[in-house]
Amino acid sequence: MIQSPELRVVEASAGSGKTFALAKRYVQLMLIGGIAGSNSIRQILAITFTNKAAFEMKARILDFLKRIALDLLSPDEQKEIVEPLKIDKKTVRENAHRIMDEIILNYNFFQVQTIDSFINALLSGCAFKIGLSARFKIRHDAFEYMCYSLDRLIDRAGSDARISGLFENFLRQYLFLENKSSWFPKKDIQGLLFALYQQSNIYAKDFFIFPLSEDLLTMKAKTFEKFKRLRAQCPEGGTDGRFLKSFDSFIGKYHRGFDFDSLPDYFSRLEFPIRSGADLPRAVQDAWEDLREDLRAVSEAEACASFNPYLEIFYNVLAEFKEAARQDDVLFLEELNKKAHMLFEEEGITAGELYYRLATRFRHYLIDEFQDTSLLQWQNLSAMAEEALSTGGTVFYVGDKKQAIYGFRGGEVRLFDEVKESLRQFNVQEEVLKTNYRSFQTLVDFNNQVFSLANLERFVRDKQTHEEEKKKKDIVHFTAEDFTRLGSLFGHSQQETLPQKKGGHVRVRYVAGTVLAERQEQVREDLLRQIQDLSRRYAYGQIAILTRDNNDVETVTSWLSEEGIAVESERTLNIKEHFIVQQLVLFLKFLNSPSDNIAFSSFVMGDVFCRAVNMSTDEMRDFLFSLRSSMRRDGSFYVYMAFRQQYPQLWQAAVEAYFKRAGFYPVYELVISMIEGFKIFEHFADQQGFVMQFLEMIKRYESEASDLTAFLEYYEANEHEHLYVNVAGSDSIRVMTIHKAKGLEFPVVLLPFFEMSVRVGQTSGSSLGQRAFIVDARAEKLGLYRIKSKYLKFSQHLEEVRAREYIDSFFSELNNAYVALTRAVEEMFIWIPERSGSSINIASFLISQECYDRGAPLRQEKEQRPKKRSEMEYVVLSPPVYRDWIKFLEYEFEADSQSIKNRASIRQGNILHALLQNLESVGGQPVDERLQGALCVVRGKFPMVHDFSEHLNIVKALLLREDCADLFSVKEGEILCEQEIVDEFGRIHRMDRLIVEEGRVRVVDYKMSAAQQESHIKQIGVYMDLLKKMFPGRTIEGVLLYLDSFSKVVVQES
Amino acid sequence: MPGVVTYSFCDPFLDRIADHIEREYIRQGKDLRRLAIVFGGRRPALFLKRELAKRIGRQYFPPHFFSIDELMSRLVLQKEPFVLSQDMDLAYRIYDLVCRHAPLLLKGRETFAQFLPWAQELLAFIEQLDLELVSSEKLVGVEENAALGYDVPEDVNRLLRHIVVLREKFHEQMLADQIYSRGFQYYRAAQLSGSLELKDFEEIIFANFFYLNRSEEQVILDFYKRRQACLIFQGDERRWPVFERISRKLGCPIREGEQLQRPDFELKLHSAADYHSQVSAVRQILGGIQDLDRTVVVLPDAQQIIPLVSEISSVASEFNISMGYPLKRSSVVSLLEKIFMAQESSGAHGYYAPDFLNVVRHPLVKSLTVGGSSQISHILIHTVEEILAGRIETSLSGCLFLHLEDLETCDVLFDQVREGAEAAGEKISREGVCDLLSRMHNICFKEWEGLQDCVSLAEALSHWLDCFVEGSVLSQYPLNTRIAAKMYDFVDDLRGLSFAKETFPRRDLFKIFMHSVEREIVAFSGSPLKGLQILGLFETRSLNFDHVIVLDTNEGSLPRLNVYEALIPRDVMIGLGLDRIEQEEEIQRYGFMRLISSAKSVHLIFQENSERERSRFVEELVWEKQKTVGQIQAVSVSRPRFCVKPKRFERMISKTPPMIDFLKHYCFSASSINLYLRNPMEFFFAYVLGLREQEDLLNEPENREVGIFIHELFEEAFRPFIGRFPVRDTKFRNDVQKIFITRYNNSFGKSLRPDAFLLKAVIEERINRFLDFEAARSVKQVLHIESQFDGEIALSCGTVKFVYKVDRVDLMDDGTVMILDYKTGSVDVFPKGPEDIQRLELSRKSIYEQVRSFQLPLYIHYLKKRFPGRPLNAGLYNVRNPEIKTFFKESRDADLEEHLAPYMKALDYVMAEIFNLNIPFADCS
Ligand code: SF4
Repeated sequence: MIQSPELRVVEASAGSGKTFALAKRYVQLMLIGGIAGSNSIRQILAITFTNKAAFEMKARILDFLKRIALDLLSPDEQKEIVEPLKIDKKTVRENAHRIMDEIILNYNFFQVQTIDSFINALLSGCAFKIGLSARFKIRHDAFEYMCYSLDRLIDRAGSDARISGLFENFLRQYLFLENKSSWFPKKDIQGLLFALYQQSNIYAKDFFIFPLSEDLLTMKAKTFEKFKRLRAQCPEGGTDGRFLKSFDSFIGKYHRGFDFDSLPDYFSRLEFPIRSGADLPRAVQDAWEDLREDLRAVSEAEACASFNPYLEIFYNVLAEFKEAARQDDVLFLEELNKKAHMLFEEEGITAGELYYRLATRFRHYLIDEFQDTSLLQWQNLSAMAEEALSTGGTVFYVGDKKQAIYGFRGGEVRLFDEVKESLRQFNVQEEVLKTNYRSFQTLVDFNNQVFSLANLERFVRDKQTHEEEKKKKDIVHFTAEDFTRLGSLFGHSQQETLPQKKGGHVRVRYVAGTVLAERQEQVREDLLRQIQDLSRRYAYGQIAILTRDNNDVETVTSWLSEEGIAVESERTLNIKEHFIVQQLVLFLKFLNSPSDNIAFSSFVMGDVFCRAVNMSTDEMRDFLFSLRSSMRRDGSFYVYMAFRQQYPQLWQAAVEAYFKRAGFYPVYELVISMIEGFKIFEHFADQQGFVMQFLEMIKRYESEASDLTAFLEYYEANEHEHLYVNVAGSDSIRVMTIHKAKGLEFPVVLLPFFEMSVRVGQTSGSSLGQRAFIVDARAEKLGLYRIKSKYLKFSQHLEEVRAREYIDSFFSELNNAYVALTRAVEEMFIWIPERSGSSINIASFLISQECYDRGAPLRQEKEQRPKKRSEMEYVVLSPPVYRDWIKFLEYEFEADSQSIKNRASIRQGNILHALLQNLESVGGQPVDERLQGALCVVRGKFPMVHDFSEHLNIVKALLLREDCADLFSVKEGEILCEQEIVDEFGRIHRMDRLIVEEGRVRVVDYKMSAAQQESHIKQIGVYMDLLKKMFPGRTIEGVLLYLDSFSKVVVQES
Repeated sequence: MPGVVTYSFCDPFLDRIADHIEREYIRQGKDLRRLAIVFGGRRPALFLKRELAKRIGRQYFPPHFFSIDELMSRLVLQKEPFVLSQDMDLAYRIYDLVCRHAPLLLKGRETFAQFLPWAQELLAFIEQLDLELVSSEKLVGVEENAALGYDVPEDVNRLLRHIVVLREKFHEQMLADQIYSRGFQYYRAAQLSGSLELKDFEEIIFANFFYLNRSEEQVILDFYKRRQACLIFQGDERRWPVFERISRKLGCPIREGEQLQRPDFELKLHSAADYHSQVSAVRQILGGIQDLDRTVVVLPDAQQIIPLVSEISSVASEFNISMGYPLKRSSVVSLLEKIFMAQESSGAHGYYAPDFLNVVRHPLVKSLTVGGSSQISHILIHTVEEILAGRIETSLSGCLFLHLEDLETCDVLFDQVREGAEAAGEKISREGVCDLLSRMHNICFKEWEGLQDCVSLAEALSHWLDCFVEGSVLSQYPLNTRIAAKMYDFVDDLRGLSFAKETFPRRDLFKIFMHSVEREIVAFSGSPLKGLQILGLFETRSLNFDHVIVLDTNEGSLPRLNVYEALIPRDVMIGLGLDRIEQEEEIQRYGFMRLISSAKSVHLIFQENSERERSRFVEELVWEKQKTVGQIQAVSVSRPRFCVKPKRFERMISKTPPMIDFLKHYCFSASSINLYLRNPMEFFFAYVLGLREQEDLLNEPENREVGIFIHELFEEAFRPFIGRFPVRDTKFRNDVQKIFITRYNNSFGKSLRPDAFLLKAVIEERINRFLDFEAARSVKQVLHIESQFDGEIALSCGTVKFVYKVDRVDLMDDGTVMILDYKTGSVDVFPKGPEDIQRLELSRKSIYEQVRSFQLPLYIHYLKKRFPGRPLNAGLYNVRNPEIKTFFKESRDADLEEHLAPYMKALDYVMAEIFNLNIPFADCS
């Protein structure tokens, strides 16, 4: 069974029950007990890749434990999970019960979580140490902070020569070397800075700043001089004619520097291009070689140093960025691992301290998706994991090297093998999960064939042969090492199927054609036909269409929507695309800026408004059309004013309230009032989800700022947050990217554009477009390269860098293909376009013709499958009737500005009140002494008042007044302060002073001024009525004591 | 009757305690005023008084109710006078003590504002030590935890030693100043407990306490020993370890009977996808409940109160909310934040213009009135905006920083405002405007300058509030009045701070202040005893309801735990007997389970999505149920969701005969047709309604201004040279440079873009390259610059008028007439070749995709007539990266018509569609 210590490494191909394996391991560790404290949840840490996976794993663990406790395991599960433990059934059940109870009551220690949340826990526990505050927050919007920090730097450029120097350098680079074409370089800078920030976080390293002995332009100018000199040296008549022609045109193009792109290919030759038979003077060849050496140096410098100006700006911006983060007391999600790294490296935190801070010592680690773990993440865990192993604990990691597709986020697939090698001394156990529980036989066979080593090797060779035939530029050849890597990744790709999963269907179509539109048209027709056919056998909800990127998602979505097929994709569900939301936003825009004629016109012509006021779009259209001439004449003509004049009632009923108060209300309340006012749910009941999602978004954003302008800015810029409506439970075809589909499965999968194209380098932001740079993380510092294919002719170093990157990218493409082809359960349809972009689609080499058609449809018609529990109980919510917040708040907080204006005298009254209340009776004791006693209590209630002498004097004067004396001391009887009476309905009446004597009862109410005497009399009348009932037979008297004038009004029983 | 009483978990607590009082006091004819009842909070007293009224059936003098805080304070005050201090004040005391006694703790966070979170953390820790009566000896002798196998880290021991010193000094100070913290008040109460008495009362009932900290325990125990206290618990020590401890202390069991009782309520779970489906589910549930008076909605997260109240108002007309309206949501606070920001970014150069504008644009500022109307304010602020943005020419235009005086002496401003006012029918003198402006400046800026301590901040704030209160601006929004009242309280707090006169940097001052404002709320009034109750979990203490609906029954919300100990390692806390995380969880679990156990129906609503999972309490209940029925399927979960019918909404605007008539007489430009191709709806708005005719809608908004700039620059530069070709002349280049500088300074230079200097360099460089490129072209002379030509084209739908705005026409050395259009954007608008167009199946979409722009074909078509017999060509002139892409490879003359024909056919098609009454303007965005 499980040994102590043990490092267990599990390779789990697609569909082979990875979550099952993890949950099983967890449960077994708990049940078996005895291995390094393994029977306590406190000592087990399970790490998953996403929150969702963590939730699923928790659920799975609980499910196993419960079913063991209740004796509900299936025989198979019993055999898999319990039997190997060799514990008798009763004990196991009791243990499972105990463990369940332990988990429920110690949920904080049920530690199945993402690496990020674990690191967060670590950092939170050590906040004091690493200079964070006690309440730092994790934020996700580093990009916004980055932009803000860049703006601050730009602001300062105006007054700080050093900083403006940075930007001058940058501009030189931007305009002369990169030849960028945008007018506003800021966007480009933003994109690149953020990409740099991400990279530095992934690796926790600084960037290497390429040292330049002189500036690049000068360097190139010097080389250019050498070109000219060489040209002069070219042997007349002996030089290759075509070379000369291209050389001349090259030289003619430039004055000082030059651009590698237009450098003739001849220069990649080792020898000067001499006409055959002609003599090559030694000096010319020397000059040639010298020039080529220059070109090597320049190309390397250009490839690396072109980042220098950005890096300088980057580090300056980073300083601003850190300061802003410090001010706001935040840490960014991206930096978590880097910060934790600092904790270990710089703060040298010991394992002991860590355990004290976490209040637990982990002895067992379970790690999911290990192939996507980054080096940094592993470094943050490894010390603890090793410590656990060396004291008899265990580590269990599972993953699939074939599904490593997060290389761009730092995922290091090589760790999968390296870690196990480096920890060999701890009893390494390896395991391969061979059975595919997901797919039917035909699909498994298909993938077994496609991803067999033989086929993959053939694929690589065919691809290379093809590239050679086509004389492709910059071909990278697979080395023996690369083939070994291929073997290591796909060596275990062959899977077995469950006996009950016979059959299945795979169909592949090659889509010929060099024109994209034509290929797409072919795919479209075939895809739609296929879906129509499938819809006889499957519900839409069982079909998924997977694509490489979001553009394709959009394309496919529009094809399906045009046919009236229900689609669930980011595109259909985006509230920004929804007409109601759009019209509400138009109205908000108008409220925010009434001069926005377009917003107002579009809004009043839209369905939301027209239906709300019961008017036809046509009438509005004609009205607006009639304004045309005034609109043209007058630059400051406002449509809303014309509208107000033309339709005063409509204005008043439907616009005015918002128009007048927009700025004062939080956006949420404003929109709620609009939904109510325009009766949106009444008119568009089946669109409720979109409106609710809009509200959800407003609500989520609110913690940042609730003001309208800020909201609209946020809304315009927002491209992904909370924009998508949840349609779980509706029957629609899902369209998504392959990346998003990782870990999911669907009965039917269609891959309409099955492509592979190897792209070299990282992207940075949207504006820089294509692959912008290559990061080399192997050295102490991060190297950055921007490689043009021309450079490769001169620099072997650059060629190597690029080749390495190419191979990495190739494997990640292959993995992506693997993920795509392993999602289907029953049927899969694949279209392989001839081209991917402008080059040949190498995926066509991957799947050879003989695999094209396999099996047959499994079902003949739709099966009434028993629905899963989770699908069952959807309850459709009816639309609400909203409250009009504007009215509600008006009512709830009725303006009471009077009391604010009088606040000084009100407080005065309160203090006097309080003093008097604390004087129960002054009989006997000296007045001053009693007053001091009362003051003790009163002072605590009015800490902002430092000087009470005035109040004391007033009270004292009052006490000394003869006509009040009997209110403050009585001979026989009782004085009650602040006495409550509860009436028969449970209402509470609190009386300032109650004097109960033999024959009469008096109630005293202190008032500041006699201004509202009538209501005072009424109120005291209520008290008197109550007292009458409580003290039948006694005389009841009310006394109003006005503290401003010391006047006393006595109210007699009526 | 002193002693210990235990109720079952399934009992309604208030009913039972009312029974108790009825039996022991009312029936005995005792004076209730001699009875004191202590609850954890204040709310149960209201309910109990009402219940007693029901039982007594008439008016009565109620018992005296205390919250535990009130009791403690009353007890201590008997012996020694003290005042409870504000948290901020205490934090400052701690900071001050740290500065003096443990300065190294400040490393890297030297100022008060920086240290504040840690001061609060230290304070919280010391408070806890006091509440729990942890001795200093214990602090310095924390023992290692064997399970972890490591010694207590030395850093931590050192820190604890510091804390011992800090705590001692802190106590000394509080005693001396008679200013106590809450914890210290409890600490004193426990110390003095032996000699404290409450003579006014015959008996004190301690009702429904659960976890007692050691100081509470001490005090209560003393009353108990004196046989003056009756302790009423709910729950059982066999289930709740907390009771075990208490029962040991009391020497008396806390048991609800022989057996633990099993609650019997109907449990429903609701798994929602987000906030709003949760609150909608509440509405749906409430719709099915008759007796809302006996119903509570528990809302762990006050953030959700607005959505909830919005949602349920239609089903629950009366409700009472224990939460309030967050101050942060008010416009008063948002203006204040903007004012602070403007102060922070201001410096020797004056105010940072964007931040300055943010303040004056705020609706509260805009609604400052002159003679009862805010119109002048609007005009004034609008004018200020126009000036700063450079749309009105003054010396201030485009400055990134400004001094207030510069605006106050700006004549143009005053003239413009007065003109504007006149146009709006208002009269105002120059002095009037001046007054208003300086009033604004005072309120929003000057008053806030030079603040250095809390007193001056309080002054500024109070005066600022006065201005708005006087101006009755606040009543626009009713809540604002309440908020203002709250703000005045803050002013009082600020003045009352012990460190009120301490000097701070402005930024810190604002930070300290906002720190308090952030968490503050304005309470809803509501009716505490009537209708639906909407409460936080904590507020449900001791109350009971038939129907319980709990929102956000999610991990992270319920229990709401601060899971991390940032200062003292969690394990050391446990070693000190201070496991506040577990304790807090237990308290919340108790509150939650107690509330639902006596209910008839319980609805737990939670969010389940990729971010959130359901609460451990749900798991607990589900597991209990599963154990009972012996099955996994034991509790059903419903999944509320909204109706979503994703469908395409095609927006159409139909045409009318007057529109067609208008269009037929309209003079079309290439851009208008291009816009129609892209999106007929946009065409409708821009050209038919005439909303944005003048603008170049086809260019990206960012680039539009640059486009205009470049066009105007080239026009000015070339216009004097029509008939010549000046480019190879150095003087010309210098002139262009000069024109560029002047124009730039008057446009972008005056905009508020801080990155304008980058743009300047970029444009300058591109112009130079452009001129280099120009010089190499074989142009004989420039024929036209920015010329506008009119013409007509006979199409199948009739004759259509066209206007051609041509950037430039050159006569080339070889005699070709070359028509050029400068292109500054990045959108590819170059038409496909005539063969492609010829083959095209015509539709608006296909023409849009293939022809893309009619500009070049139309130009050629027109100029062919104007320059008959000349070889012609037309091209797009890329200014970003100088290059001319020509329509024809070689200029053409004779066969020109033939080449143009496919485009004209496409044009014909488009125009016919535009004029077709039956084809509406569709929205193709
Ligand atoms: S923890 Fe150490 S360094 Fe910090 S104040 Fe105490 S003794 Fe000094």
